[in-house]
Amino acid sequence: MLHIEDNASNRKLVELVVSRLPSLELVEALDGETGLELARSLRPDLILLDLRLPGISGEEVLAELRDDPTTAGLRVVVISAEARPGETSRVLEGGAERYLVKPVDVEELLAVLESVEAQ
Amino acid sequence: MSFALPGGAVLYEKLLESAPDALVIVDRNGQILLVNGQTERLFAYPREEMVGRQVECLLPERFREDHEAHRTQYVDAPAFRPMGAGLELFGLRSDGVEFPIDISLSPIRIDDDVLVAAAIRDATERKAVEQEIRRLADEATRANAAKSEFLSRMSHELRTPLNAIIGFGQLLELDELPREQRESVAQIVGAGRHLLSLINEVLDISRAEAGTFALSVEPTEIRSVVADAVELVQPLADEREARIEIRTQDDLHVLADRQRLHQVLLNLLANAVKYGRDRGAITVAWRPVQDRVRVEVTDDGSGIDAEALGAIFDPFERGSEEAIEGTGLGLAVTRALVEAMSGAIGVESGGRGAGSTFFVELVAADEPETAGVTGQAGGPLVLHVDDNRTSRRLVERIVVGAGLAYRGVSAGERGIEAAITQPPALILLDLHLEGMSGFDLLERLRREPVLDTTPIVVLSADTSRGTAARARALGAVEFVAKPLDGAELRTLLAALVDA
Repeated sequence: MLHIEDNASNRKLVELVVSRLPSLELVEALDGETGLELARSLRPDLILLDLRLPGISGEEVLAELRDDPTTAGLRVVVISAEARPGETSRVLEGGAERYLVKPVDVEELLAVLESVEAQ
Repeated sequence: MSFALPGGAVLYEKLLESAPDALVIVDRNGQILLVNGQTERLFAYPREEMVGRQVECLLPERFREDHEAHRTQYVDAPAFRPMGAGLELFGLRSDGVEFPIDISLSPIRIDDDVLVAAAIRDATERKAVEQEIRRLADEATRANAAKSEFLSRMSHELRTPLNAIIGFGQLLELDELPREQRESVAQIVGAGRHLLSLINEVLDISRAEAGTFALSVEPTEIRSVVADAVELVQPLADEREARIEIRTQDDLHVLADRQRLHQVLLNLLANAVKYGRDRGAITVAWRPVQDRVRVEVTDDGSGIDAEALGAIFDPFERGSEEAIEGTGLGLAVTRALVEAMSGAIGVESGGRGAGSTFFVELVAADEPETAGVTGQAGGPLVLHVDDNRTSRRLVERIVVGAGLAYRGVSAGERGIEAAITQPPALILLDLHLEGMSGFDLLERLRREPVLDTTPIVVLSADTSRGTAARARALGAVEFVAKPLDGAELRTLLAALVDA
């Protein structure tokens, strides 16, 4: 799975949660451009995507993933500190599977990851 | 009655001269016939320089031509015109300085002639005040927008470190820790969650105050919202062995956003439990009050001091010295929500030890044409056509319990309308309808193109084989005999609806 996030503390948290599920492998990207490249080359089973990223935004990353037929089917779960209801629904309409608002509930994140493991 | 006025004609002259407004009388051609002392002061001309001249000499150049035209029209159809009814008008002083004026006009008929009396007032101060008010209003709007933006950013910035505090704390909780460490971690996570509640509630208040809450206000039945809220707060009440009693069973509707009304009632009920006493009694009741409906939540707890009552809805006011958990924003949020739904909220208490009653008043509404949808919002919808209210409640409970959305309608025509405007995933049709045969309705529903693929299940107490066979022949997928077996209906729902 691929985690696109610029904040080191958030990356560490996800890394520790993922490490509890031994069958999952984690790749990280610190900005949207790198994230997109990795998504295209690795075609991960799940992308965890932050919205406020340096360079291209998470929303743009999501739009590009959806526009590209090779990545259109990839699962994307957004994790963002942006809690405005309008923003949440826009991202979900943009094709994110779920929108987890920070602070993310670790149990909820684990449940998402377990669903990847079960795939 | 008549009596002699002191001074005779001098009195009229004194009245004219002492008037606080500039008074000018012109003839039908616009020539000034008479002015008073205030006119001299306002326009800074001695009166002999005004009398005999065209009245336009008192206006700035750019208004003169239009004014002549207006004056001619006015003389043709003279009528009283009060101050403030006119256009933006300016006067011109002898020293060339312009100033805004208010003017009123009244025709004076003498013999066959028409004179025009104008009362003129310097509007400089009024205009300045108006401008200041506008400026302040603009500033307030801008400040409010800036506040919302600030809070929104603040929320974002606070959530990021909270993500680490709560997240890493939760991770630790997943591991086996010595008791002391486990307690420390619980404190960290608890405090983090408390901070998160504060952020969310401050945002709620700010949105409600700014009117940017996304509210969907519609006729909402109180009874079911109260029941939902009571159910949610029940575990909290059980902890304190408190009893919650719903005193009213009337079906009354109010104009409200169902979800927000739920939040309001939940908050009041949770407070009643928290500030009530162990093994206390809490009651919920509602009744119409004029064009509103008043919902009351009463507890028999410690009550509220008279001096604390006024401030209880203010942020961080608790009305109690007792250490009770909470953000101190609950009632402030509740009030903001109620007011955003055009309602009112208040509290009554007999003082310390006498318990308290919180009430919410919302605008009464008629029962909506098609009863509202309950249960899983946005989930697969089950439409239930049945004239019997009790029977609808029973089916509603089963459908909602299965995680689906439920809409119950009574009469046949309504059933068709509801089915077409919002096509359901499944229709449950009772055969015994007033004013219409259930079989006819079944046929009509089957003919609707939008319901082409919608399964229809017929419910009936008439269990003769002919009835079931006829229902199937007319397009029903299943026939269920009444009295209903909850388990059977649940199985049917699971089989026919993709939840």
